[in-house]
Amino acid sequence: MKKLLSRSFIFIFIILLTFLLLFLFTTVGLGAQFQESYNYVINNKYNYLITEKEPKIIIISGSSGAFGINAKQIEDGVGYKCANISLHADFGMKFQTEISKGNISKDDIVVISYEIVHWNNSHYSAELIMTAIDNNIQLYKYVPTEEYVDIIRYFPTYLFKKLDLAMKPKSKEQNGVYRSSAFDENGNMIMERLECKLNEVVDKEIYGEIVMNDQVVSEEMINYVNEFNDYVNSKGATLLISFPPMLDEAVTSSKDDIAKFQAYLEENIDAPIISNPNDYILEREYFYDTIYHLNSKGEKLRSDILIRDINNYLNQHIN
Amino acid sequence: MNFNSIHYLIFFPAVVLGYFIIPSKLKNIFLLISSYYFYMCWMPQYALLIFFSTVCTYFAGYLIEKESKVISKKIFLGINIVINIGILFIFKYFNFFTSSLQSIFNILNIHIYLSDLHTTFLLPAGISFYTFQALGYSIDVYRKDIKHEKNFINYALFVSFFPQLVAGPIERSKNLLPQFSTDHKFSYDNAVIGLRRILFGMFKKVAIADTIAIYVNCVFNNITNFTGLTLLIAIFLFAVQIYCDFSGYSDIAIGSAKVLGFNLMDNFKTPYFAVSISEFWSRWHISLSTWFKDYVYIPLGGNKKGFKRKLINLFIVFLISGLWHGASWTFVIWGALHGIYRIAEELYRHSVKPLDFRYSLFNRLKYVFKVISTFAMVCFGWIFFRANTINDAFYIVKNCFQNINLLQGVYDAYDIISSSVMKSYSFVLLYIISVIFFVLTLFIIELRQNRKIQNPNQDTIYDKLKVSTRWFIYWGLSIIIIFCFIIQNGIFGQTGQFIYFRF
Repeated sequence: MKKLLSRSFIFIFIILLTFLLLFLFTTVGLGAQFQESYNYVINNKYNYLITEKEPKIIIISGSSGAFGINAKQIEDGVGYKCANISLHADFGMKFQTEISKGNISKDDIVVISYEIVHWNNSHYSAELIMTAIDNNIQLYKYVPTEEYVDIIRYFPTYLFKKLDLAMKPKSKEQNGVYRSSAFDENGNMIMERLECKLNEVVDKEIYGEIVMNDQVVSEEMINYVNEFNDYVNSKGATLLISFPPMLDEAVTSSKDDIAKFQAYLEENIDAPIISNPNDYILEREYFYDTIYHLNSKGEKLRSDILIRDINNYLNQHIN
Repeated sequence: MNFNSIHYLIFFPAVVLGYFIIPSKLKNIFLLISSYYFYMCWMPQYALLIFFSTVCTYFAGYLIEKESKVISKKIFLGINIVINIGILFIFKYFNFFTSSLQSIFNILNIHIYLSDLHTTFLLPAGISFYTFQALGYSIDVYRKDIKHEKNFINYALFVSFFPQLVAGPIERSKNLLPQFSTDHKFSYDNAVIGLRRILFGMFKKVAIADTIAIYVNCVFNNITNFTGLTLLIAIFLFAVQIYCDFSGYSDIAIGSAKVLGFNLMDNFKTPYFAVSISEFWSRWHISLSTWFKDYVYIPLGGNKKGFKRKLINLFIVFLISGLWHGASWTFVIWGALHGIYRIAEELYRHSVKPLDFRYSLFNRLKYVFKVISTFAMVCFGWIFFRANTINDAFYIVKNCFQNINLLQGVYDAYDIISSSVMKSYSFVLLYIISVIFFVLTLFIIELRQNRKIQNPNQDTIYDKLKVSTRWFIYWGLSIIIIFCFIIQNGIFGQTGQFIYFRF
């Protein structure tokens, strides 16, 4: 039996090693193949985060942060450097949040402003995560363990996608905001979004709706954020909770329910809630193409509101 | 629980470890609990059916042996058969029976409606297999081929032994039951032989059958979109798929049992190298073919009651065999077709003297011709076996030689694979290369095995290989299996179900 077991272990080790090599070949060996995509911007954001030495504000959310934060404005308004690592809700909020662990240092301020729906689900897309990470293999350490199975399942598709891209001549870059060149080298959006592209009627079948009450927050996310708060505090930094910009026409909750939502978070989250959701419910003139994506005008307004909230907190608690 | 699942990958080593660690007295109880757990992972309530069948056949065996009068023995055996076949009928054939009857009523303009009688039961996995195995036992006791097994645990294990529970081989009591009375010690050699067989079984199932299934399922499920070469390729590939699917399952079953120290009967012996339909059936699903021979064909009179009766008996056996495979007219036609093949073969043998050439080259060519023509006839039968409806089957028969165009075949293949799996040039290319490679590899392995069958003294493939080469083969097969497994799980959310689980 011992002979069989020892040989089996050796065999399993060789098999695992083979797959590790195949994985390395796919991610690193085939090079960056998705670098022109919107998702790839996460690498710029991450690189900026890990190289920034000064105390900084790290902003975590989905794409509402990519479209709704002006980093320069935040830096000027608060006096901290700003690493806005928000990019895509389909990465899953856990992955988006875990990336921040790349460089949370003493006196940093970490602001979570998840899109409301992500307080209640742990949705993620292995495809988006893998194509975003591309050849930057070190980002895999931030993928939550419960997502490993899906990462493995998606691996063959990822391999063939990369092979296809590696073999065919690169096509010309697409126009529009959903591409890496719409962002600067630090991962901040630089493309002007002047107009509102929303349909005249905001159909919830197309755009979805925003519901806030004391039922929309899951225990899983509460626990996760509280654990993250402990981690942030252990690094000598501060975690703050804020809210994303929300299109008023898409918010279907009453004032009472919104108050209940905020009260529920305040009661259950260990980190301070620095904002009022009502302040972030804005008119359509500030929005670009979805109920969470701001245009340039909206980005400026939202950044101002966030600066005000952060400064209020800092004035009361730190300065 | 499926053999091709992560669940089994954990379950099986745990059972092996447990089996060889615990005291001898508890081993069979442990195996019995493991076997029921194995079955209950799918649908727990259906374990009651196995238990009921086990209790019925156990007591039938006891009463048949105890009773001295032949008529009483016959009555007990008859009741036992009626109960077991009755359960099988209710769960597997009732809806088929009522809908067929309804069609007849409709044709005859009789206003009786049977649709309300339709049951919504799911077909219990492996019901045809364990029912036949348990019935075989009581018939063996009746014939005094074996003694009634007094130990109920051993008998329950005989009916539910997990490696062969859901898709055979349908074991004979004479072979398997005595093995439960022996104390099995761990044997390194058994473990190696067993694991090797499991590995090849997995390769056949996960790598070959399930890979090919992507193409085959797409064609057979959208049959009217295709003609010519695409249909011919699909028929050929289905022949490969069903062989790899079922023989792969048998290999995993036999290999799993071997690791535990049990010897199960072989179920396949390179059937596509058969030179006649009768030889095909002595090489394909051997445990079922011999079951029908022993428990249906011979009791019907076999070949002892004249030539005409022999032909009738053959046809009846194949008709039942078709129905055994599934409650559908396509299976009945498939069975009848093989019955007709066998009758034609018997008539040919009866009336024509076999050709024997002086030169061995001609004899070899004759052999090749016979193998190819038998394979072609079997493939023709597979059309009815696989087609979703009788109309589909006739569509294939009508259109498979129409518009044969190589370019169209290649275009269809690209379209099928990219729409069924992923739009990727590299994947489609790898898929086509893999299928060709797998089919050729299988052909070479089968050819060698066929030679070994003809010349049993010949070494097996492994005997001549260096240790490093053997390990390289194991490594390569494992990588292919795991990769295919991940692709199937990633794209379809699950690995392919074994075709014979439905029977």
